[in-house]
Amino acid sequence: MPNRFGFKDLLTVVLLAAVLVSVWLAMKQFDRQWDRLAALETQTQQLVAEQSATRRDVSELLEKLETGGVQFGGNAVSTDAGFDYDPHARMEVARGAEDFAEGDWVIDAFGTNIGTVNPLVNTDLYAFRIQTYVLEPMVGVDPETLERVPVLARSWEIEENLEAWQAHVDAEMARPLTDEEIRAEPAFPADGTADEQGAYVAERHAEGRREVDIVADPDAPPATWITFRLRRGPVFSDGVPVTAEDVKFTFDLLMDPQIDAPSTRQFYVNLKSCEVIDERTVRFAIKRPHYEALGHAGGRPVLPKHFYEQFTPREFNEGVGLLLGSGPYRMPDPENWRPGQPMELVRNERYWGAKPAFKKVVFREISNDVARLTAFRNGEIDIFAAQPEQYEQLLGDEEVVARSQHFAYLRVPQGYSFIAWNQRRDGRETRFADRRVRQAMTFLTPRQQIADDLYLGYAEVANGPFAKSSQQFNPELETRSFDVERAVALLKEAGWEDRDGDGVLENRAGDEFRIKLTYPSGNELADRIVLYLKDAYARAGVVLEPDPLEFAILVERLNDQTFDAITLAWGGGTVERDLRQTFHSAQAIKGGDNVMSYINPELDVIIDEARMTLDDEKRMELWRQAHAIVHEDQPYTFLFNRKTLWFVDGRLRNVTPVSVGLNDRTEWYAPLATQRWTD
Amino acid sequence: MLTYVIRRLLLMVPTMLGITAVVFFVMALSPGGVAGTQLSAEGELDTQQMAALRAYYNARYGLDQPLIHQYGRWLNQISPLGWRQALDDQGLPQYTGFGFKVPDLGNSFSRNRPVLDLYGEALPVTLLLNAITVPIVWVIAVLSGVYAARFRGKWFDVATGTGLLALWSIPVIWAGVLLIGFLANEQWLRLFPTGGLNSTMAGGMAFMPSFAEDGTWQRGWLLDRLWHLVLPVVCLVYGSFAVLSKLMRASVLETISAEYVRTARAKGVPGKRVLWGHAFRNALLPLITVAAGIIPGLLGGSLIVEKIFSIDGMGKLTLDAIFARDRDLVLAGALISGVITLVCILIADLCYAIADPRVSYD
Amino acid sequence: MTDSTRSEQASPPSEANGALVGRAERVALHETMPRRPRSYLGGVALRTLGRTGAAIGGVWLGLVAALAVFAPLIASSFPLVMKSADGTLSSPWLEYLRPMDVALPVLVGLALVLIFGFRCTSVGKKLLVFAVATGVVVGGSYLLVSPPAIATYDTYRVGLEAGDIEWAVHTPIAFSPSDRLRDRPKSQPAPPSWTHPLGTTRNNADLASRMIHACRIALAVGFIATGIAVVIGVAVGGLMGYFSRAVDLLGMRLVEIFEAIPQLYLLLTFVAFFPRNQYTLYFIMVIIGLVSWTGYARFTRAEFLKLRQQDFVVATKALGLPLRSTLFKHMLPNGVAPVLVTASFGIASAILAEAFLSFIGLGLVDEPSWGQLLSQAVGGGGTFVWWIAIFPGLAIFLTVFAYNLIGESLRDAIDPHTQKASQA
Repeated sequence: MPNRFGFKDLLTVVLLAAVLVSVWLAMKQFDRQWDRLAALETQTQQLVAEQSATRRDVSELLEKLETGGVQFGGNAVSTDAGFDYDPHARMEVARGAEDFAEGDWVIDAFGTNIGTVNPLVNTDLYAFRIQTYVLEPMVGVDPETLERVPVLARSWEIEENLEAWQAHVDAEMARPLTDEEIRAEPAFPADGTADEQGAYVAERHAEGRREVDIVADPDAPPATWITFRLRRGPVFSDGVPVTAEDVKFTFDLLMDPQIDAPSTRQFYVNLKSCEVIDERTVRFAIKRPHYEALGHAGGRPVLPKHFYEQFTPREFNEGVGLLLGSGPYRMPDPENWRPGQPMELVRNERYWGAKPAFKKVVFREISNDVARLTAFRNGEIDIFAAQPEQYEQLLGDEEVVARSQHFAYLRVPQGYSFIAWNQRRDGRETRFADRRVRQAMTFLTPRQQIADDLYLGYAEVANGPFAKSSQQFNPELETRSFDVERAVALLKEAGWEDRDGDGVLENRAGDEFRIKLTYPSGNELADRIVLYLKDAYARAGVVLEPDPLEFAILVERLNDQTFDAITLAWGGGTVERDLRQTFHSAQAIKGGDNVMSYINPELDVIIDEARMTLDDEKRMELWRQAHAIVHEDQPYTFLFNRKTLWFVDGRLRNVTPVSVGLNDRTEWYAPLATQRWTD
Repeated sequence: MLTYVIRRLLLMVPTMLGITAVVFFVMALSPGGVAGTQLSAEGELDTQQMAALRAYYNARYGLDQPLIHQYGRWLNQISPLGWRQALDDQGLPQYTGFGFKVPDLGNSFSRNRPVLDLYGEALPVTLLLNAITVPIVWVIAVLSGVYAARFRGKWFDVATGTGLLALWSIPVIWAGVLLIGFLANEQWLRLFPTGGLNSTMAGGMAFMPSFAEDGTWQRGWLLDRLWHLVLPVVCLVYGSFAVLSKLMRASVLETISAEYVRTARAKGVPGKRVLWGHAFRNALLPLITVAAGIIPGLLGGSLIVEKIFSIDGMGKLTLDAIFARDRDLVLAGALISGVITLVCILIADLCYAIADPRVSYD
Repeated sequence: MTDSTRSEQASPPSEANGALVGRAERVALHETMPRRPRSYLGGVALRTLGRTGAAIGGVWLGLVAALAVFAPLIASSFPLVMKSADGTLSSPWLEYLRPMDVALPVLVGLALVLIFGFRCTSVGKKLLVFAVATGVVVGGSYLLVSPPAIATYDTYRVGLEAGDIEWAVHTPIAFSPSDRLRDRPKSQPAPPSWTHPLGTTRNNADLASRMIHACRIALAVGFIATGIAVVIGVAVGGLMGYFSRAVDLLGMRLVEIFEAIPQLYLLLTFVAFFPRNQYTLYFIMVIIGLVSWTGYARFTRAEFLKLRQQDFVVATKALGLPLRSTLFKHMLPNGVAPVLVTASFGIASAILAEAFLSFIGLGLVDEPSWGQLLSQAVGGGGTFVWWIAIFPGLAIFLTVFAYNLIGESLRDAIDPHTQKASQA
């Protein structure tokens, strides 16, 4: 076979060369177009920024004209004195700093994949965190004072209709409870005989059930009306102004049963209706009096009608990337983002308020704990929410500590974990119905040791449902420390002692003190805590059997109240904590949150009184009394308030702890010299 | 042959019904049923909200109806022929008519997305893992098998025999933990990443390795991906080739003793040529027939590997689905892995028939 | 774990079986003779044990079994003998012994006596005696032995330090598996040292002690799970093979259903959906058995399909023997050999499966298991503890390896091809 370089080979080589040259030329051409495009983009951005500044000035002027805030020849008239809150004041302060500079990105990391950013069809916290940059509500919360403050709304007016509402409810409630209604309650023993407390419980339950029915009736008068007046300035990131129609559309979309948003919807069951009064006025009717009514009606981010109404419910449900709003950042493409694509928000140049410093907010998906830690070490992410172990590990690394800032704080509103001791099961009292037993269990729980060993000190022992910093907290109450002797004494008083010498306590009837502690499975830390409890309880002769349950089954047990003891946690909730939900006897119904059937008529009275007391000082005094009762009764053994642990890259400035945690990232910036990322 | 294939495909239908029925009824009869998607790490909850949510799912997906009804409903949903469904203005499903329709794998409760999309994203990842693993397994298995046969009874044969068995016995969970612990951890060597398929910064990298303007070397997206794949692939490879290698050895031994090989040897063809030129190709035949058969095993293996290295493939998706009690996702997982397995078995049988003319299925 | 059964299918069984059938016939002839020098199965056992690999595997398994049986004697927080300050001698160790701790050594002793003591009696009688004795011993020990239901492990350590106890003699490892050293609180696991030869776990318990006590679970899982799988597999396979036709078609669909889903997937579906409690371990064993019987069914079916054409089976039918007798007495002993091989690999798979389930947190909370220990190697914060990674993993590996070595040797022993080869 002759190995000669023939004509065919020559042709191939020439063709190949030609192709390569043309590809290279094409690339050159492409590059030049790219440069040109980038230049054009910068120009457009500048134009948009200028335009939005002009628009802002004009609308401010208009607004002042309307409210009479503008002075014409000395005739100063101000009507809305209470609503001169500037939602961007904190941002303006940051912009005023000496080393403030625009530019750079801030990069956050998520522990899971972002499945959706759709504002209604989502179930995870991560999507919510992205949305806070893109969407804005009418009413927000001041990060420092925790008061409700206007954002998209300029002002609001609350009209109480309490008398008519109360009259309606009273009329319906006046009808005495029938025996059947009481007997139908699950709390009522099946054999038809109830002890005094059992009858009381069943009655409270029947009462609570009827009240729920009355309020849910669509013909019932609303308890409250809230009217919002919108600002003139705000526009969505595509330039369309925010109007009352958008607010109503948001409400209608949320309540549309065809929209897959059951988990979001359930928070707003207290909203009755929403009507548009004029272009910038909207009125909500509220079903029952509720201290959070304003937050419910005004706290929902406003969605642009013109954008979302293009989609059918099905398209909307499946549109994981549909996100457009009036916030300081926007999705580069509000329609077509898909999971798996990088999640980057770009600054909204049309934003109606003060602009944040960062050009981009980037969210990386790193599901592996160790990889996330490594990424922070390498400076690939700026924010790292640490576990206690990781926090300690990073603190031990001088290099990391030198180029970062770290924060450990108790957030407000504060959550707490607890063990609930079930006092009634199958209509009968359990061993935990005896207050002494519950107190003994608290004495037996080595809370400080667990906080030190497992949370490495980044948790505080909780001594009640209230945050220690709040006015509701009663400082006179002493935290029960681990004390086996006192526990044994209390148990003996209640009739529990080791009668047959096998090490386990028995009561007079010979029942052994064995309890199943139910807790959500799949959490390594929970497993370890339960083993601590098991060993500690053994010292007093109490046998604890761990009962890890999947959440679905656990909820079933909660509903049926078929558990001995359960350990769970309550989230933050509201700043002022209402004890009714957890400790009022009316909540001891099936499906209510007083899952352990804790009944104390004295506490019921105080809680009811506190809820109706408008005077802050008096109400706080009542809460402190309630706290004392709860502390004495120990329906829960209160466990821990966990600290939130953050590491933040050192180049970011103005990262400051505020009441709610860390201040908003729109207030952060990176000085010009240390900026890391550009396009 | 064609009738055989058709018959086998038809026989798959009752099998798939059986598989999904087993999974469905295990799931439905277990305490708790389908819910539990609102789990947060600390176990925070609001019972009334949970109840509202459950009521919604019951109405929407008929979760409160008799089991057999629920299963029938699901079958109708995935079948290409059946009653069409549409949502009425209350958001409740209504049946609109009978006929051909687009099969629907349903929606994931826990992620609120169509199941098909989720598997569409996860399947390529698992296929990539296996696409890299299978050739490596083959090369090692064939080479070690051939040499073991060639040096039969010698130390090499004994060593590979025992060594392969030992490798095969190493639990993947152990290998994974050791590899991550020693080769990818701060405390020891930091040679490899601990998990995932790409670095955080891979999105902004060039595809190929390159030098940046300031002269620093950048590894590029491709190398980065490969770098992430090293440990998972090692975990998948090491235990898989023992079986194949043994098969190869047996097959080579058989061909070496065949008449034509002996003839070749007698004619004075050198040993190496006899082995590679004559025996090797024929010995490869039985191995090809089992090629498809090892894929289901690898699917099972990648479930563990994906879990350990937090790779978002099919295995991890399925595992998450099971833990979240995500009915449609779990059933679709069973369906998909079942179909893959059955098709692989069918292909293996067909390969066998094609490779060996004595086997006939007609 | 799916690999082992697959490998059985993958290797072409045709040529091996041809020879097997011949052997089976001869055995069948022997059956009718009054005495025989050495049974077929006995011969296989001897040949298997003759190989180095199997011998090493056997030694390791023997060691694990010994550790399992004598675990309390090796690792316990309770002093064997102690003298308290007031001068009384006592043995808390004896007091805290649980029924199984007593029953196991007794049974093992009995088994050894039966195997080596009485050469004359037949295997069947020995098995019967052993089964009866097991019932009696286990039942008796549960009736007679009643340790305290609750234990505070550090009592004796604290007592010794405080001087309430004058002296105490401890087991070689002075910690019980659930003794989490609450008297010495610590937030980090301790590396191997003289007091803790293999270090401590994240929960502050002694690793060696937990591993030794976990031997029981490992062995039990292997035997019980595989036992269940073999019984189901042989029953279904035997019926399919004997009746063929419709039963076979239906049975094979069932086999296909269970084979078409990866075993691990099926196992997870079963285990993850049921709550965890003290019975979880038995539940896991049963489920592993329930999902892994298909291999045995296939083999038994293939054997029975061949056997039913054999003269001796036809003869049993002609003699009018009942079906039960034909199936169990005549066909089963001849068709069971390949099942034995698979069972050995099956035990290895079952151990791996249990380890994996415990590893991902579906096992028990407090009872020790190798997989659960291994899962603690990488903690929540990503910290890696090498001793927790190495030792439990090594235990799983060695045990699985041992079973596989024995399985391999068994396969060679019943495969006449290799036999001839090794003789040549």
